[in-house]
Amino acid sequence: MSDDIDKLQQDYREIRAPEHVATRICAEVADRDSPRRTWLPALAPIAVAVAAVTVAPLLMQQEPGDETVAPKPTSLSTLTRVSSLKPGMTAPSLSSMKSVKVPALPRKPKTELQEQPQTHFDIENEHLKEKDHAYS
Amino acid sequence: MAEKSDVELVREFKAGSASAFDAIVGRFQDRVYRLACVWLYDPQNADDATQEVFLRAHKGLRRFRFRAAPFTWLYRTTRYVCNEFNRRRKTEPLDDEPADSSNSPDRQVTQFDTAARVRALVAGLPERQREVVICRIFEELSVAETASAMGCREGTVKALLHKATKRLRIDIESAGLTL
Repeated sequence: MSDDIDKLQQDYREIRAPEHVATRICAEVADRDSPRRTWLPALAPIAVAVAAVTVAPLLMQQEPGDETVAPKPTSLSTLTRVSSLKPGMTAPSLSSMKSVKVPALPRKPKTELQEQPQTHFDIENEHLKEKDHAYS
Repeated sequence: MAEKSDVELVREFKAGSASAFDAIVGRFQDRVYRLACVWLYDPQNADDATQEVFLRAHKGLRRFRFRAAPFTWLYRTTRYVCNEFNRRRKTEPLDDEPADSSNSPDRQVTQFDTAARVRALVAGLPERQREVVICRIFEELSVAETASAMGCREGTVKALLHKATKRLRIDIESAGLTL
């Protein structure tokens, strides 16, 4: 390597970071690591409890109006849900719905062929046909 | 007691040792600062860039997988941070505020003068050649480490270095610069 490039390298290596740089970095890192943010997760259950306490009375207030405003239940699950909220109401169970008796369908009219019994002559004829087919 | 290697320090830091990170800062701050001085358009920002690099290191080295040397990782981070600072400077107007006077201004002026001289010489090189000069000549990284830092093959590093030193010599002679 030439002297010029060596000198250039020397000059480059003379550059040093000011002392305050390391101090600033360490202070910033210590600040980031400090436990000041650790209370944030601890706040979460408190926030949930406060929200529950605030929202619960509002829900209780809304209940009397449900009778007029509530839409007509359309499904079995909705009926079950509503009946659990209102003790006076009964919801039909799935088994009771299954056991509902439906009138039987009228019987299928029988065809003419099925009604005529097979005669001895027909059976013999068929037997002969099978034989012919076998010798053909 | 023998000085701990870079890898050992990073391992200790990953294990949760705060003093290991202080040691990492102490070991690499000059090198990162020098890189910032050469790469930044405005060397007055070298302090902030160095701080930013180490703050990112504090976060990023926790996931370090030792596929490369720790300094190679820091070199790449410094390049990235300096590029960000340069981009920001292009878009933002120059700040008229004087530099912080508490940072021993006399010393800073000489630092910046030296940095400016070095930068003036390497600035004439194409970016990749400049990078090779910084890694191989200034930082004395091995060919493999330089290739890893630059994300290229070792053969490319050798070729770039050959071209860069040739051009650097011509530039120094033609400019008649006395270093």
